Amino acid sequence: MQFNSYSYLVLLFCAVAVFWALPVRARRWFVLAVSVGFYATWSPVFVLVPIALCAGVFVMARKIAAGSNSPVWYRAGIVYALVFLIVFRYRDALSASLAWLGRSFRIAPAGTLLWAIVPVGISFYTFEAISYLIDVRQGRAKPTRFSDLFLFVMFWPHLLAGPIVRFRELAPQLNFDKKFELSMLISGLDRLIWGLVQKNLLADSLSRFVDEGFLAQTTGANTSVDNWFLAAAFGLQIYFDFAAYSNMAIGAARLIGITLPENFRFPYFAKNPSDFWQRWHITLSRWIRDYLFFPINVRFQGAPIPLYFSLLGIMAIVGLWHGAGAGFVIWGLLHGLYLVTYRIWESALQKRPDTNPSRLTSFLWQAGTLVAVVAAWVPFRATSLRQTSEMLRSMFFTFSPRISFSLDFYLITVMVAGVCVVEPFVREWFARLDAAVEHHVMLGTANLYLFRPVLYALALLLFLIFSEREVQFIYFQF
Amino acid sequence: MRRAFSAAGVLTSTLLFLALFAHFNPFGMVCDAMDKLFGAPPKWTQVTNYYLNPKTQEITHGDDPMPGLGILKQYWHEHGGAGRTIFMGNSQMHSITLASGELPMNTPDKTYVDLVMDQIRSQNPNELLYRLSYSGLSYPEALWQINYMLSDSDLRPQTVVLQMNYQAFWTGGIRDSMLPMLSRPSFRAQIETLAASNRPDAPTYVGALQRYDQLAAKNKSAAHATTNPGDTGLATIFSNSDFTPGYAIETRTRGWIDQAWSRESRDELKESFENVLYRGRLYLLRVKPSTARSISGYRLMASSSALDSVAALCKENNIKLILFYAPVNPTVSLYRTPENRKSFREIVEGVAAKHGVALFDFENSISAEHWGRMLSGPDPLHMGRSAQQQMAKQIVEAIESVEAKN
Repeated sequence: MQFNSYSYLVLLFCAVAVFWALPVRARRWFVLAVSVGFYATWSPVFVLVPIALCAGVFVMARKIAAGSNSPVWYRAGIVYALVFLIVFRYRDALSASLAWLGRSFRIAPAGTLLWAIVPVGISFYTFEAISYLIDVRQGRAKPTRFSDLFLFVMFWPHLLAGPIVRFRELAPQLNFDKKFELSMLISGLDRLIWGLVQKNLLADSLSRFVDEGFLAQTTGANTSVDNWFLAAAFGLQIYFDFAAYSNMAIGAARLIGITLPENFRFPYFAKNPSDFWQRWHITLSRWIRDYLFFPINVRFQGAPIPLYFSLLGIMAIVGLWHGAGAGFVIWGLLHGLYLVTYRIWESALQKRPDTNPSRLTSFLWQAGTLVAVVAAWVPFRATSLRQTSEMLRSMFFTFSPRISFSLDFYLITVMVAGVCVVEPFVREWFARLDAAVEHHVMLGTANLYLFRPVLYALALLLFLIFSEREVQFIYFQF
Repeated sequence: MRRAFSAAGVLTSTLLFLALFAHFNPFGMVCDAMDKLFGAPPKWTQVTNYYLNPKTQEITHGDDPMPGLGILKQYWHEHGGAGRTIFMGNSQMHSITLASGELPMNTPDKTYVDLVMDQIRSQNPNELLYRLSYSGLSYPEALWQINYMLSDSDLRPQTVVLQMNYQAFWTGGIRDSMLPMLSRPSFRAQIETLAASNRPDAPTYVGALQRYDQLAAKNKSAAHATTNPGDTGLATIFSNSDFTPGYAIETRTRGWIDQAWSRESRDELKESFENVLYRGRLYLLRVKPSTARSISGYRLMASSSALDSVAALCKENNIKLILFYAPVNPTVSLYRTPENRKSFREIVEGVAAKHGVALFDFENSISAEHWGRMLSGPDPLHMGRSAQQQMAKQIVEAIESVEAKN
């Protein structure tokens, strides 16, 4: 069941109503049942996957906590969790590699390896399970009951596509002992409904054009303007698609009093490549930073060259996390290259302590980051390396002012980009409005029962008339 | 308890506004206000009272062509031996925008294709003619449609009169309403052959096949869910491995919503919202249908390739193909540069010469006073009533000249 489906919205509001009607001690079991039921709507059989993952991780965490300093259980736990990811997520690449090996050594292929379907959300909840193991090992989390761990992993708002939550930030909230506040409903609805608009109106309006533009047979005929627009359109599509999911997840959690971490902070406003990763898929970035980058950096004691190579390697892993494709790795490596370039510049600047970057330099970094990020979407979305090289060559080394697609494509891309530009200002304006009317009875009432409902109704109306059939979120495939 | 009432108040108020918006269509109101503000011509200049006959016209203009093709098949089957002509083109063939001095009539208006049919039938009452005009018809769609008609002996035409339009080269793809044609295996096989080719329009057919297969799979699930209305849904959900339980739940929810709020009124709202955006484009951005444009890249390659395939297919099947340049309002230039016009005409003339097809040029044949006015300026494509008569005369002459040559 998709977040952007009619049935989800209906069932969500029913579940929220029942949740608040239940006594506190029954709530966690109710949420667990709803979460399992929600996951089963994708495939009842695949509920066994997170159960098996949690069971193994639960046992390993107990062993880690009970054991000495021996890293055996810790390593076994990490390997156990990674096996799930590799078996389900990378089975295609694995099958292809085994087939290639078989052919190389003239061994007959043993048929199709494993299963045909990937359990949805596996990349996300495997990372959460790994973070739990690491936190237990480092003493930042205590081993818990199986039901707590299972609820942490299965909690439906973040189950399918994040935000990637840490056990220590979610577990304390999972006793559901908060009292209902109207602000929970309003902030939850704000995020939920904005997510619907982001997905149905903004991201999906670009998908048809992006799909057509990235057709492998015809990209050679695209002009440089077409390709820049295509890359930008895909950048906007994936941002609004994923931000929509995150907003709907955060919104649904807020409705039952749970605060999930933010996943996006207007990434296309990033001032430099490092800032971009503090704004884009924030929960994955911090996972990578805390569990990969910092430990490696500590080992190298900040030596620049190994640090740069580790950055490249880590970003390649971030690319691989999205799937076993060369395009994802190139996307990761490009971002690694951007980060290394920025680090080199930053360390050069630090050597001259009294020098602050000029406004022009800051602007150049901001504009350059935007251009570089947009260009990096090409390998991420392209269907082949050949298409990637064709498109990037046309974008950077040729210029043709002509356009090939229907005018609607360019207009809609500009319109969606416009929404992306005003989004932070609108959000700030809403925050100010809420603060301004907080202690004003008349305005507060008008905000609650008139202004907000009109906006919600308009957004719901658009959702109802434009949602032909729910279109899957892009990040569900990762 | 007070908080619970407040929450219920917010939700009730939201639902109330939703019902109000659904009933009063705020987007339609915005459209009317914009038209008034920017001085659009009165609505009656866009003719709505047309002559309708499903035996000679595809009356949904591409929105749902299958029932119309069913009627045509039966009608043509009953009149086996007669000559069969298809007129294919875009909305120019089925729309009238009244020119200055023209007023709405009490009787239904006829488009130039209807008038051509009247004239041809007055000479030969047995002649079978059909107007297959779709709004924004693309050339891959024209190829698709001709292939479909060739896959059924009852629908097989002898003559195809195809409109050549610069704007049609901008459009591409196959609309969803044409996908059900793929349920005929012989037609599907033809489309699969096109999809497997290396021609630039091949991806269009690959995409259409994929969309149809997805749609067919979903319809199968939906049909399964609705054939067991008595159960709670769970039995259905777990007895069919073809779809996820979530999909079945969603199908049922949509079924309930369809009962509570008809699809037609939702579509009307959707159209009104799209009209708001369209008007924003026209009035605020000043981007009109008549704004001059260049075509290059994928769309040009795909359209040219599909047009070439249409001519080749007709030749291969002994179908007489007649091409004509659609008339364009002389006060409007659709081409951004003279080279655009030149390259468009070179493509069309190249196809005509390659396959020995008759080509007529009506581009500048209708003078400015016979064209109507759209929302924000001269209508580039849709003619007034008198222009329909002039156009009908030209088409009849063109057909007669082709007949005379043969």
